[in-house]
Amino acid sequence: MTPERWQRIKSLLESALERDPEEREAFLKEACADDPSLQSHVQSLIVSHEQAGSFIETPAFELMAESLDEGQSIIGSDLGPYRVTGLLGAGGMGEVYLAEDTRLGRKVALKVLLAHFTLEEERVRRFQQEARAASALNHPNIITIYEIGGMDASHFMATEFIEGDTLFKRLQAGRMKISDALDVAVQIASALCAAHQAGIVHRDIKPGNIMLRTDGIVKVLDFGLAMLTEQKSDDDLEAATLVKTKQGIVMGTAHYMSPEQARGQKMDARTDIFSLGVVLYQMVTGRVPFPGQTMTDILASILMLEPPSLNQSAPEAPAELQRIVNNALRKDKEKRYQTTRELLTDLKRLKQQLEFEAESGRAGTPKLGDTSSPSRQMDQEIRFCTTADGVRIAYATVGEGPPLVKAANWLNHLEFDWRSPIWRHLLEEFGRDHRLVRYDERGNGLSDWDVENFTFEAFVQDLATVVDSLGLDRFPILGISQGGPVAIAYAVRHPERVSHLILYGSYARGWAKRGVPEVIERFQAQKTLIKLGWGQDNPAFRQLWTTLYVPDATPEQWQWFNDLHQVSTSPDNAIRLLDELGKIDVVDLLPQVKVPTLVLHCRDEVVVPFEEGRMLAGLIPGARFVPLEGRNHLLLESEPAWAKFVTEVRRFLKTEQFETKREWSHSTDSIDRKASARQITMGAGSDQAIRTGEIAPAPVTSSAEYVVSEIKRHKTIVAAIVAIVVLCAVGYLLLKWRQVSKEAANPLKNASFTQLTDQAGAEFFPSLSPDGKSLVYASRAAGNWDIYLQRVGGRNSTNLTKDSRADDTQPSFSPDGQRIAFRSDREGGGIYVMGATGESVTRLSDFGYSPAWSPDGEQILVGTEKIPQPSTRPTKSQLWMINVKTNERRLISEGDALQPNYSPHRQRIAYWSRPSRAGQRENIWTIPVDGGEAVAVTNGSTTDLNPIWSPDGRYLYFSSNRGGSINVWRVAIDEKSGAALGEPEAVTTIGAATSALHLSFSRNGRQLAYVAQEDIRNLRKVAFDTSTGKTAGEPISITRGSLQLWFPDASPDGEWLTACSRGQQRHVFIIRTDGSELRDLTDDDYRHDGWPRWSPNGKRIVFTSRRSGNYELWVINRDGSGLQQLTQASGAHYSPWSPDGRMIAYSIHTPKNDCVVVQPDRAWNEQKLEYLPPLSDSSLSFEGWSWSPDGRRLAGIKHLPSGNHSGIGVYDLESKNYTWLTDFGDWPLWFNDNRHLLFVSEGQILLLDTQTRKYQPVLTVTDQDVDIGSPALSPDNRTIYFTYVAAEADIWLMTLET
Amino acid sequence: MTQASTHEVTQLLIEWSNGDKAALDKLMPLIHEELRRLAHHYMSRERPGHTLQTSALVDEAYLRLVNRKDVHWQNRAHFFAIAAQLMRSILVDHARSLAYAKRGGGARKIELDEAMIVSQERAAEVMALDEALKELVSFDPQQSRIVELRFFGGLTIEETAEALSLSPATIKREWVSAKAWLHHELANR
Repeated sequence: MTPERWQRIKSLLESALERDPEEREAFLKEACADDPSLQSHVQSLIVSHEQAGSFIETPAFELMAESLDEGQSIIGSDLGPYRVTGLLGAGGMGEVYLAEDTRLGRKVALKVLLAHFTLEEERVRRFQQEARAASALNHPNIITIYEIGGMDASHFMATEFIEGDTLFKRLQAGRMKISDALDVAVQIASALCAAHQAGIVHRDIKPGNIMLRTDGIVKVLDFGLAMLTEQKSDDDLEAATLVKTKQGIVMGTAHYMSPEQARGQKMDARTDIFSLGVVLYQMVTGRVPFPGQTMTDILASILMLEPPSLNQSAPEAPAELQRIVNNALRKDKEKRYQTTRELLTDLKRLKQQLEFEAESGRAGTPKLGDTSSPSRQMDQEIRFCTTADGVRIAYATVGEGPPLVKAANWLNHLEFDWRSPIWRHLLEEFGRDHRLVRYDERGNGLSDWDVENFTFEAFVQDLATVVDSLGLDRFPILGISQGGPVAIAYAVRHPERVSHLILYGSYARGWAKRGVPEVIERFQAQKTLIKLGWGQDNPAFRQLWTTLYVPDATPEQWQWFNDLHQVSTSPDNAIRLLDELGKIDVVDLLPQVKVPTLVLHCRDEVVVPFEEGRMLAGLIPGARFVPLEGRNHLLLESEPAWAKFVTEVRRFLKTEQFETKREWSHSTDSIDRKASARQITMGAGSDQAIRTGEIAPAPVTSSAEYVVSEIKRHKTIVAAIVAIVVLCAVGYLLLKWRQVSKEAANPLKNASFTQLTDQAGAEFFPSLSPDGKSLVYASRAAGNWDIYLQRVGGRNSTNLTKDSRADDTQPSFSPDGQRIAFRSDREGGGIYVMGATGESVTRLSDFGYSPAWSPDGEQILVGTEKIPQPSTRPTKSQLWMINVKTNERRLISEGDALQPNYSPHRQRIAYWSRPSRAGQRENIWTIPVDGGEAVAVTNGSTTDLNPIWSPDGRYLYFSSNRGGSINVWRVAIDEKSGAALGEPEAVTTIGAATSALHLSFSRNGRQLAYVAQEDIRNLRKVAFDTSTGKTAGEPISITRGSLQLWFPDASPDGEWLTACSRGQQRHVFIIRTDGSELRDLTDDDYRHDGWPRWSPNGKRIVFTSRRSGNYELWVINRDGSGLQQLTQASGAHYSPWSPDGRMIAYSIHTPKNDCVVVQPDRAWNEQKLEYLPPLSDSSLSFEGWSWSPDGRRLAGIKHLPSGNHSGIGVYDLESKNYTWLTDFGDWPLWFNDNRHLLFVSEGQILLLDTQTRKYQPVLTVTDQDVDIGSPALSPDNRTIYFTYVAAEADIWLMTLET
Repeated sequence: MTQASTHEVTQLLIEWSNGDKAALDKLMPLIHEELRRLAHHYMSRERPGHTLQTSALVDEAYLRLVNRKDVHWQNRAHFFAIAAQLMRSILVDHARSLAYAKRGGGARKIELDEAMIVSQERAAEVMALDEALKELVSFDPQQSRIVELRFFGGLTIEETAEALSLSPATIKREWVSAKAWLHHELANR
């Protein structure tokens, strides 16, 4: 339209509108006589004008306000500890934001639920439950959920932030290569497998829920979230209506629905299998198998149509892939893959096959690894062979020349090893003039992962199968680490084929059996970490590995370890492999090694002690032992050990060659094959295995093999008879073993977890009713501790003790479920019994804690001490039995005994007690019910608490920190003797900051209730009046939230505090004393920083860190610059500065506790360390914590051999004398008067006069779930800063599969 | 919003009003967030059906976003013009994102309840109006500005008159024909 024409239209329109409607037409007809189109245009505008009404009268903003509000933005704001920085995407349930965890400084994805989803409490609860369960999955292909929480009305979930694209986005670019599609499918299936095993169905598998990380790792998102959008009812009709009413709305996801889902029927794991089938189909072909323009079309297509074959769009798709897809997309779920495990196995097998074909098609250009690396020039030919028990083993040879066989060790990976900073040089070196033979052990690398038989014997068989497949006649074997015992066993059995035996870092006895507490602990820690962090980019995980294998690992080496976990084997296998390694014992075989042997071992090796190597060499006749300098378990190229290793091995291989043959010809007949076979049987650790109820197949296989070889050799009838007899026995044993293993099929594997309580604050001491349908617990919801009754699965609780204003705790259901015994502080305190609904309360005793009923309900056991603060408890807890009817009491044990518990057949009592000797922590004991000699169930250096018997009497469940944080563990036990039958195994693996405590079983043993407790530490301050020695006013919070700051220290200018965080990341922070300007000073991947102390000039902070592998002191400038290591003492910790800033005292735990003074401004090699004199009781030691302002005295803590602290003392630097002031308390701090000390003990801050030794409380918390941590003093002594520790504890229920 | 970003917004506004188109791209997300915040604030405070004072809202947004000392607006009209243009960009952009969501263009799960559908219809309306205004400006720039100020800027007849130095009667007259034309355009698109 031209402006001129518009002007004319406008004026005509205006004029027309001024007229009456009936006159308008005539007016226009006249005015537009020359242009009829003008008339119709104006007339149509008149119609529009009349229709327009309020059109555009409402400003756009108001129209849009609702939708603007819909996505009410939280960017820039804080949700709990999360600072929201951007929007990542929006979904049906809410929006996903990029946020920063201000506690840890890491990026997270924050999923915030839409308000209308949070209105229904039940739904939110289910969401939380499911998400919590999903968060416990800990699978490399499942997004890691850090936290599920709520602030005000909003509920959110913090997850790992993944950089990459969704599969949806990737598929927009078209179909994928078969190999890529398989790779993604395997990872999704692997994630689903883990989830399904835990009883979690995803329900919404689709490309939009699959993230492809840039490094190729696939992450499945949104486990459990689909539940939110589902109707609560499983009713078919209702669910079908749901689909109907939301037509066109769930369009995006309809393509991935299973037929049962489309019909609104019940879904299970097989639904996910179908959806994965759709995704796989789409990845391969670029299109969805069940297309349709409308919802109805798609659903009809899903229900009725068979998808076109893959080959129509993807001609290269192999037939096997078509079979897999068909199998996943069967409409009848009964005919589909029944488990994800089956699908996963098929996918993996196909993937391997294709990879293998690709490899052999283009030999010399392996897929993985850096092609620019010189090692990649070496041609590696990967082949597969199958062992007698049907396991496919991948093996490879590289190079030409005489063979050299490398026995597989843990975490081998044929391809990955070539780009590793650990193996590359070794493979290159020996691949140059040998035909180097390597293989991946079963369950690992490119070999079959789906393996049942994980025994030492099987590992030996794998080696045998590989060398047989290659037709090798005589060859040297190189056994590194685990490869050592495998090589030894093979060499003993086949001396005619082994020309040389080279062992590096090998062990003769498995790790865990050597009984060194640290080794066991490390072993357990390793297993726990595998469960928690396998294949994840978890700094703790990487650190553990590198600490173990390569203490001074470079980032490259770290990364390699990290990556290796993602490709080498599954976490389950890794744990099983570790377990088997723990059982290995070839000590008896060593004297039978008749081949030339070279043993090399590093002097300071961290994993296998040097002595182990020396012993190994000593027991092998004629073995040459070469010590190497170094501490790495694995040989690094840069180490001097490597050069020596190469020289020694080369010399050995050359010089011994001829001699070997001669020796062999002499010794052929002298080798007692029979004996060696038997020895292997014993060596495989069957002794241990049988005791734990599993009959290892190892002896079976080896005796069978022995028989077969006997037949081969003699072909005698006698042997044949022997064979028949043995084979029958073998068959029987195998059968038996299968039964036993099925029976003992780990019930923990299929356990599911449900949160029973979620109130703020602590719910403690759950006791399940015998039928498992209700529970009682203690909570302070009403102000004081009361006992609450709640239905399992219900939300409402009834306060059973609301009439009593005294604290009532530790309830315990009687075996018939009719009564509840509990501890009450009423009437001076004691044990009370009431009816199951709180009626008829009677007093049973005037003392005692932790009541436990006898199985017949006639007796109650009590300890005389309450549980908290076991380490500082001065008196022993006696164990008493009280007759419920007669009130008659009997002392069972003088103690120390806490939380006693009857065995189900009333044979023994289990309890825990504090350390009884050096090197121990709290341990579990059992004692006959009528008293007698107590038997230790655990005696390690970990804290084991709260034992309860499984109702069948076969296991003792307990809380233990043996895996790091406190989890539920169990150990098989003989109820009669109280003897442990094997090693404890982890039952729960909850988060690092959480403790699992207070266990209770239902009668059928299928339900276990426990408390998941998280301590929340925050800094507080309180004014202090130095003239009265009392606080002035109430404490004020400095920090809030869950950063877990503790160990504050005030800056000399009084404006700042430094403190460290506890939890996943242990970093050093600074924060203003008003709580502002929090800053993470050591914001890096290392997570073991603690106990920061300000230098007297305020410029630097010294702290203890394990970033070098050992505890050492480090200093950092207060602006975060200038981080440097101060000590190289292997275990230095705590670091009070002298007031002039020229010295720092530190403590060290090896060889015994010493306090040492170091000068912070000198390099380590220039230090003249000043050791404080030892204490008269050499088992005790002094740990300096605070330097007096006059510089003359050091206040410190008495350190017991148990590791516990027990009392405050002062060391006079001039007279060189120690003075002990108390036998309790911790963390003493000097006042400016050089006379008084501030310290803490059991929820109290106290003031101590060093001259009179009198002390008085300054600040007290009396609550059971609150504690006070180490204090700090402002420079003017007028403010006390301290850590306030509050427990957040909820009750969880673990349900075990039968 | 922090001090730093307030300063940033001011700077961007100056650049944009000086003709730097790129500044608008940076400006929009910042202001979008602020508007969302305000929208929520108003939505939760006001009774349903209560009329929002869009111009007051814009004022408030600016108060929050812009350090007025740094911006020497030529006059009130200039300010309103800028505001309306900005609102138009933001709201149309927002409308587009809603409509985009309807097409299933997002990678994320899209599930809409009734309220969302209503919003989407309105979003479509806002987008269509934006398109029609682009045509209107070609033959009647003044009318287009009036619509922009009123519909996107939320100005009353009187405020619009003041901003454009025209009489309220003129604005009323122009508004009637613009409304008719736009309604016709949208109905026949």
